[in-house]
Amino acid sequence: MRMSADRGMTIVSTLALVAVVSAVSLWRPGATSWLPPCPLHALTGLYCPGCGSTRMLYHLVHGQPWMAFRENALSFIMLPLVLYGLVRQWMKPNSGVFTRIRPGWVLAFGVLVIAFTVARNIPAQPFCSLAPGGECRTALVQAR
Amino acid sequence: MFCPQCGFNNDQQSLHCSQCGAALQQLANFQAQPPQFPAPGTPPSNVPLQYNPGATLMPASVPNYMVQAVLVTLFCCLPLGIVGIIRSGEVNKRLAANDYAGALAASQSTRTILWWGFGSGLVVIILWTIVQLANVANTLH
Repeated sequence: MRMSADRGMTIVSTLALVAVVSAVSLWRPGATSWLPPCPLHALTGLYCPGCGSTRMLYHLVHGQPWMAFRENALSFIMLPLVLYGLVRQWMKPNSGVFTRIRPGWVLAFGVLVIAFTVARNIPAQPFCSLAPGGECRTALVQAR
Repeated sequence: MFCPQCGFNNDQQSLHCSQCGAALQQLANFQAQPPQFPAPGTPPSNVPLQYNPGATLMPASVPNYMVQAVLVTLFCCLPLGIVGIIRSGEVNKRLAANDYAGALAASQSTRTILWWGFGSGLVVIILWTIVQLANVANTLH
């Protein structure tokens, strides 16, 4: 019997998450050359919605939730929901998780992700608090 | 459950055939008419619905891969994740409208988008690892 496509998604996403958590348990992002930097940030200097999420997991694994939150607030907040959804997918394969959420709310979440991305790239307070590590890159702040 | 289109023996809970992708019986029946339960005493007739009514008739049983969409967006650094989130909302929309064929189609396209997003992230990681291994090899020589 062939594995269902739904099962494949559950297995691969769980393995990927386990791999990243294992990697940040072994190495510190930025201090090792084994963890790749974000290609978008390396090329353009812009922060994507995922920038800082690996460091977020690193701090979480090492028991520093506040540091983790500052690296990537959105993925910090979404992590429990993602874990809940994955557990549900394992327990009830082929049954939808979060399928009852109103389409409007899903769209609103998409807009929130885009707003988060824009905000963390604005080099001024309070927006840049959402940048990885809460670091403002304005000349004014750097001068202090 | 055997696929009506190609005869492949699928998992009892499958919504579509894993061989040819056709929507399976219970889904077609559900779309065509609401399930009718036989009067007590009558033997189960043509429909396979009655054998496991609860498991296969869940209207919410088309996966929308929202978990994976969030994972690709927030841990994979690619805009394809946002497209995946919007598409998984489309699955919810179709489900809410009782359009199961549409929900299945949206579910499959969401899955394809997310595989592309995950795959491109994986390519970056593999290329990066190769470059790092080459660096290590250089320093050893």
